[in-house]
Amino acid sequence: MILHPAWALPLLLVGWLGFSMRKTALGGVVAILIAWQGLLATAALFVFHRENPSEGAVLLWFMGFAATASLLILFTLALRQYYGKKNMRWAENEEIKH
Amino acid sequence: MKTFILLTILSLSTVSGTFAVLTRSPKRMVLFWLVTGLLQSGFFILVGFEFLGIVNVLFTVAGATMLQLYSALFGTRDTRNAEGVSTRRDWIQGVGATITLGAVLVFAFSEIPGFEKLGEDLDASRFGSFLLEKFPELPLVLGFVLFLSIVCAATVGRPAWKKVGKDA
Repeated sequence: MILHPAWALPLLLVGWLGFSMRKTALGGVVAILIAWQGLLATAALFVFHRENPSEGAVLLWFMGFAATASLLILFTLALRQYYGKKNMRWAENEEIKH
Repeated sequence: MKTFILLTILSLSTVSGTFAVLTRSPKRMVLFWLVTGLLQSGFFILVGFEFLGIVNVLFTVAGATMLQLYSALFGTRDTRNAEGVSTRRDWIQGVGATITLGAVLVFAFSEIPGFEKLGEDLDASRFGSFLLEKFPELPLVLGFVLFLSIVCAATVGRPAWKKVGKDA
């Protein structure tokens, strides 16, 4: 069977397009997750042809890394979205001035 | 025939992913993410990575749960309103970034020796047993994630989605 790893790239690019265009934490994380699926598929096709299957274990670590990274990205983007609406100037913000 | 099915799955998941990143409704975002993730899991199973496919199903469900939780906690109206505005600048930025990344990837792959021959000797039959051998606690971890996902989806996920288009 011949399946070129390049076929998995469009999903990666679609995720990147979304990440460049989305404005909210939710949209950003969905885009990251979709780019991640493309990256995983590309990695699987790269690893998968090799004779030593032990290299396939790397994919599991990829998965664990993705779960942690997605959660961190969601928190980061959420904080960015929240504080993006706030006036962070100390002298002008009534909430933090005192 | 198998190659045709694999390419069809990849194409469908790309289309579904495109809908997910271009829609403005949080509900549709999560639904299309689920479709994309499940199609990719089918792809992994078909190419011989059964174990990775199953792990990916759980990852997809857990990801959807996480997004549902976020949507339930912080509301959907703000997300919908913010994502509903797409200016020409956004499109230029998005398409420009995508073309740039595509060009970088094509260049990087063209530099890999023997890239054109990749995918000719696929064999991953021992992959699942190898992963279990290296990480025996994995079924326990995955079971916990699945349990948490079901509990979250059954409690806070759906009510938040129902508010879309009403008084969210």
